[in-house]
Amino acid sequence: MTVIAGRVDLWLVLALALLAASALFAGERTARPGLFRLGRMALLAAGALAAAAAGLLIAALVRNDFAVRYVAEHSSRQTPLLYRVGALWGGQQGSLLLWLLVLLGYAAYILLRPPLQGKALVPYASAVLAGIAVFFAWMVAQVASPFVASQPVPADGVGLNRLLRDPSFLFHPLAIYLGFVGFAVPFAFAMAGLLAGQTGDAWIRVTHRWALTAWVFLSLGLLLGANWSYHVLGWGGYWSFDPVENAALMPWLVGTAFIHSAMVQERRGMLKLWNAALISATYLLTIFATFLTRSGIVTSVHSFASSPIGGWLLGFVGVSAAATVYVVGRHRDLLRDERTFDSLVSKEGSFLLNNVVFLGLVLTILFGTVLPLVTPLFGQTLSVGEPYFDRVTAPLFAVLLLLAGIAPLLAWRRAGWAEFRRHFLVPVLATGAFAFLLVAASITLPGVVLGMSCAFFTAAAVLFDFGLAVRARRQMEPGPLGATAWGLVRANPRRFGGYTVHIAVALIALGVIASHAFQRQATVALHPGQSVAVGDYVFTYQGLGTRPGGDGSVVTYARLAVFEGARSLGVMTPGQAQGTDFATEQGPTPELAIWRGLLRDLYAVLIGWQPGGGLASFQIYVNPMVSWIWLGGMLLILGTAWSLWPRREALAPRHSDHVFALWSELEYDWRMGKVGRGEYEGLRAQYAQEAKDALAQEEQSLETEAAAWEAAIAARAAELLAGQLPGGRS
Amino acid sequence: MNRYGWAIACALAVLLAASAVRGALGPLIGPPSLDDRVMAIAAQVRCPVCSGESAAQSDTEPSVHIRAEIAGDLAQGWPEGRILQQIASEYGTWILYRPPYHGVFAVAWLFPALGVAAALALLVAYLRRREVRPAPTAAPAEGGDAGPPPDEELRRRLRRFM
Repeated sequence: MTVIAGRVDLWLVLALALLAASALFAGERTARPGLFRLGRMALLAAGALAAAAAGLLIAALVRNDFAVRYVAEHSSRQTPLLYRVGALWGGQQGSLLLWLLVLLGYAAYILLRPPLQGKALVPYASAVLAGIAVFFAWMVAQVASPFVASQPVPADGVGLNRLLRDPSFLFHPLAIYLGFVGFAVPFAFAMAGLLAGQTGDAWIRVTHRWALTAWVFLSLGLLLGANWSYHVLGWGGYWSFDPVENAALMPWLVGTAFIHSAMVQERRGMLKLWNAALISATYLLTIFATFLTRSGIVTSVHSFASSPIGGWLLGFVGVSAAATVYVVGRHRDLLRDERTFDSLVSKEGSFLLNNVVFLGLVLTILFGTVLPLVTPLFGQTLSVGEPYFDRVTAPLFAVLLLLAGIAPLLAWRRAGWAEFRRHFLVPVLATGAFAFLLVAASITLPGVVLGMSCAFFTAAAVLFDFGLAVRARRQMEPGPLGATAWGLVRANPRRFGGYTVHIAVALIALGVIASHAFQRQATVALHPGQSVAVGDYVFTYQGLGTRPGGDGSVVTYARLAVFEGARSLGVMTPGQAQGTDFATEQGPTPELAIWRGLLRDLYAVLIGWQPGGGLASFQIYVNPMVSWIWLGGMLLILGTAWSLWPRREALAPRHSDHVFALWSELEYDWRMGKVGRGEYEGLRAQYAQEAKDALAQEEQSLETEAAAWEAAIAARAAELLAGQLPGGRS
Repeated sequence: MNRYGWAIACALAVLLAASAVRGALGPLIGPPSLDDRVMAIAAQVRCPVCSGESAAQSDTEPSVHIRAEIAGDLAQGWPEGRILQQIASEYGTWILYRPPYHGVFAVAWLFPALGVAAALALLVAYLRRREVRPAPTAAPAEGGDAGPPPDEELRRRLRRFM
């Protein structure tokens, strides 16, 4: 029953998406509002039906309806309710359905709440999203449908993989999907700008904003994934450059490059074609990444069983790429830049360098990831792993950290060398002192000192710049320090949201470097009463115990007394959970003991034990500063959210707002000593003129609009009056 | 305080901070134990029988054997490079997560340089062939009925953005 209903429902979604794509596209091409309305309704209906399909599947999962094969394969009677719902994205077919649902959700959002600026782009943008939806609807309706009957119907299901029964699992894939699918939206707007021939301010702003939205979700997804790996898998680490991790990291890296270079276009009208290419590449990489991980061609802890969807996904990447190249190529003329670079020593210059390094990083990771696919063609299989990626990416990440400190201190257009030197003296000296401090504290590994100094420099430079801005503001408008700082952050959410993200990245970098360089570990088998020293900590095995675990499992745990020197820290109890749902046919799962701390985490895994309480074996880690990664991650999300938070000016900036924002930044740059006098005065005069013109024009267009409304109202009134005349309506 | 006084004060402050950091981090940055060193090397070697796990992560018999081998070699005072070479010669080069720097494998180490060079080439090509089209400047208001706002007005508006 569910199977038939679901299948019919998804075929309807496919038909509606097809209708929506063609009606929206044709409607905009031929300027027929009727077709737009039809397409809009079709797309919204497709969204509703996709939600209904997801609802059906969730209902089947909750009711343990094992007649549906997907339910039998990914759930069981023993699976707790929350994870039965989560099983929607626990398997291949379900996650494709989620993909479709999120895509249609985004489409519905832009149809129902079109961006105030860039409204004109909505028809084409939703047409593009509908086109993408056609592909995914086809996948779930026919190629990999979650609605397939079990034959025969089993008495119980296989159950959700026990490692996935963790709260992170409920949120990590959701965030990843919101991010992955989210990049389809800026891509759709980018294409819409080209198709509609509107490649001005509105175009890049709406694209940038949506890219940032997708980026924040993808960042959250990556962080949650790293956290899941850390506290569930029990290998003492959080990131291993596994192919699936790489697949999610690559679009994130290109997206980050885009977020920066899009600012150059917003501010200076440059890099239009470059940006269009970057956001397209980001979107294509999300699909390519899905192909890599879902086709089973690379082995990974994440991959689902191999299935025919790989070929379809690869084909879709090819078709999408061809269509993108065609659209961009045809409308090349629209992508001419408005000006050229004044100087490479400028904010935009540093963004260019940032783009080069980000792209270099992506290509490096891409080469490394596809190596095992390509090298067999040359007769020898070669594949690389985490130690390789650690080494080759570290220098590039270090350069990016330096840039994250340098870019905020540079002015747009042209930074004078003298000003540049003046601004960098303090952060550079502070970094020198920091490096000296590290060495004096006997942290002498060159890579560690270098990397940590880069991270410190980023934070120092950004904070120094913020300090200068506060000082400049107080010169203009004396006030208490805190109020001034807060006012500054509020007046420039994008700038200081961005600064927060840079500091967050520095914190994450410090955590990554410390935990890589100074992790200490021991693999030991201990008799009760025996001890092992790891780093400066001593762990004494005291014996076994049992306790009830989650969803009916039994946990056998070991008591490990922990001492730091002579000071007792307490007893850690790492264990293993033995599930009662043997239908899962999975062995026991580790229940780690992790004591988190700002400076170090203590991390203990019980590997095995002799029945009767003899020898027990452990894997014990002391992980320095891992918490900095999670704290930095939270700060990163907060900073991005701050810069994205809807504000009237951000949502519907008029051209004059744009000019005033630039002007205000110039005033700060001048007072902070970032630009020379000649440059300042020339630009100020230019902005004043631009602002005047913009204001005058906006007033003009307001009047025109008012006149148009008046005319429309008069026409409508006349129509109504005419209707009331005899013979008009009988 | 003169300039030298400041310099000395700063140096003292840094030294004090350094000893504080050393006090706080001391337990964390001590020398690695034999176990740490074994695992650091084992992490660079594939588990011969599992998928996606290193010899440090896996507890299968071959991995345990490899770890024992590494421990033995370390005890004899072998350097890391020689130990990895030894393992590669026993099992084949594929077992190394980090390919050696010589032969065909060296190509893998050129990837970052190739990647950055490719990105740079793209960007340079882009910047070179760009033709510039000036932005359509906002046309001044016609008729002049509104009249340009006075500078005071501009300043007042600007303040909202400061």
